[in-house]
Amino acid sequence: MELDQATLARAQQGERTAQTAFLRRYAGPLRSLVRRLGSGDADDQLQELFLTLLQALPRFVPAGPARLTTWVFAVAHKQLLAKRRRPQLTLVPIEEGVSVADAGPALDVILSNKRLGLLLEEALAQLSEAHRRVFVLTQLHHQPMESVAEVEGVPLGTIKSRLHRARAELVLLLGPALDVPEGGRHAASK
Amino acid sequence: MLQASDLERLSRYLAHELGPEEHARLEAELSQSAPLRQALRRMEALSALADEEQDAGLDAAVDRAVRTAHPPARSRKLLGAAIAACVAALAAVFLLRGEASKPAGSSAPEYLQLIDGGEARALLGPHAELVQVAERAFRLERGTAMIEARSLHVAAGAIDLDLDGYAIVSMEPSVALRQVTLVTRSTHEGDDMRARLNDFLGRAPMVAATATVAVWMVSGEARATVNGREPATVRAGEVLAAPPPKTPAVVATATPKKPAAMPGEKPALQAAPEKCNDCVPALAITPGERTILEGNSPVRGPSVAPVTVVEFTDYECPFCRKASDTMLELEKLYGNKARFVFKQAPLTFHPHARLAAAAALAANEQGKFWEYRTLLFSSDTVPERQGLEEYAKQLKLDLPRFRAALDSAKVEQQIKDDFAEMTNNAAKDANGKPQYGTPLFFINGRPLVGAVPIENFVSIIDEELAAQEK
Repeated sequence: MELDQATLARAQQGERTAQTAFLRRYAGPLRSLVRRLGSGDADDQLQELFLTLLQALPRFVPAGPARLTTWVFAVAHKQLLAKRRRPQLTLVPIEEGVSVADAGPALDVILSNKRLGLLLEEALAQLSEAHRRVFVLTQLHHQPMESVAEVEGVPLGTIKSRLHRARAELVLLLGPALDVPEGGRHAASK
Repeated sequence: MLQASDLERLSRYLAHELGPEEHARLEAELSQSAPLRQALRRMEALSALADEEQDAGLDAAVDRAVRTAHPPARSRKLLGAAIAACVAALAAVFLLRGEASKPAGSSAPEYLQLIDGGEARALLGPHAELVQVAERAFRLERGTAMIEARSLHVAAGAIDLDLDGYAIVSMEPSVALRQVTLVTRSTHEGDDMRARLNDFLGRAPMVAATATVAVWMVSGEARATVNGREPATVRAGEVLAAPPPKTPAVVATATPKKPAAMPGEKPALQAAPEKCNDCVPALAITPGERTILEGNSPVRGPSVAPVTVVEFTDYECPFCRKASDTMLELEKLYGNKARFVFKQAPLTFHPHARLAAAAALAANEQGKFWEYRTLLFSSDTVPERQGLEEYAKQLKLDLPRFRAALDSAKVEQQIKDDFAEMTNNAAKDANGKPQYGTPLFFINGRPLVGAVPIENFVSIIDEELAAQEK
């Protein structure tokens, strides 16, 4: 649901309660986006993104071609692209370590009704960054492919190809987990 | 078995991007093929996955951002007081949640604890024991703990941390994710912690998962000392890990001194008996003999090389394809110091993998294994018999001889033997059932699973080389 125009206008003028309403509207999806596509500390990145959005919000043109949601995600997408980096792995060798412990609890105890959501997140992690970005933005956050293509700086056809490839890989990775149980549909609970 | 290209067609079909002829052809195929229809249903289910976002815990983050955007003009003290109030409120919330997460009438342990007089908080995994040893100092005796603190000393095995942030510390890295998952299911903090850990595990899991002690630095940083050596700073996004005990540097009959841990960052995928990815259950390897024989396996590198990398692969596994590039890079990097032994492990749910493995071994009989392997990995899909023979023609192999070898009992037996070696040396679950995935590597007997970054291989190979130079 889009933010109402009056609240948006007040947020653009810098009113705190309206800014809070604006950020709360997008906080959940943006946290999810940062976790899936960001690197390093997700909380720090989310804070940085919130501040970027508040600073950039006055420049959003409500009468322009982009919906507010599309604009918000395009800002986030650009920031994540600019920030992405591979984390450094610190490995400090030691001498003999302590022994490892038992195998832990049974698997079926752990795999609860959140199984598919976890599986999806894990399968997403297996995709290449470019494929993951396209799938997450267009499928999970329902962003227009044209907007994603613009931020990525590639033709629309490339985005479509990446999406089809990502979906194919995900179906291969998830396999029977996607089979809909009788009388119900899946929901990627988190 | 459907290929990625079939699934991409289905995706285009769902997006109405196929031309009329292709559309009609696919619909005809769908009417004939049950697997294709099943794949279509799966793709539709994937498309229908809704993102049910939980906004819990975000109000504070939003308020913080708005506060930062509107800094107080005059009084810093007021801001400090507000933050202190916020921290106090959060502490109260944590306490309440700790109570709320305790199931009524249940004997389930209280995982969430405020420690250090309420200055820090910890979620403790099952069997975890976090002991206060001094003011502002704790020692993790066993298990896994998720600790958030300012200026808190935490010791775990050979690692000492001065923690100023949030870290997951585990004496059982191979099962840490399971423990985190189990503990965090019932708490609001859990979703956040698990998501963060998953995020790490998706990127740099292997070294940590094979280690004996590991620290995942989630946010903030820590000064870390290992065995009293020079301290180093571990920052958010980094993993500090202690590798498993050394194993003898031979390919055959490598016996670990202690039970080593297999990587295990993706428990949700354990449901499948076989996995074509870098997902292997978090289980300790059963102590005992690890025997990998070179036999007739294709080999590169000198027999006297101090390090031997054994690879078990499946030609239909995309992660194996990725890992094959890593092997080539390692070969360039280490030259005569490393020897590469190649084993066939076609997983049963890959319909073309077994024949492809046989074809590679048939090419090996004519001295063209590596060239053939390159051809197999050069395509996104593995061809059927006719395509495999085309590859043989491209390499100018003696075709009748190639065909005979492809169908020979000898090659079939070699594949069986290779596969048995993989399952014999793979981690076992509590019932002794092998849990494995491809690609699977043994570097001088030390296991490494998945298409992991080359740095993970380099770490282990360098350790092995250093150990032998001593």
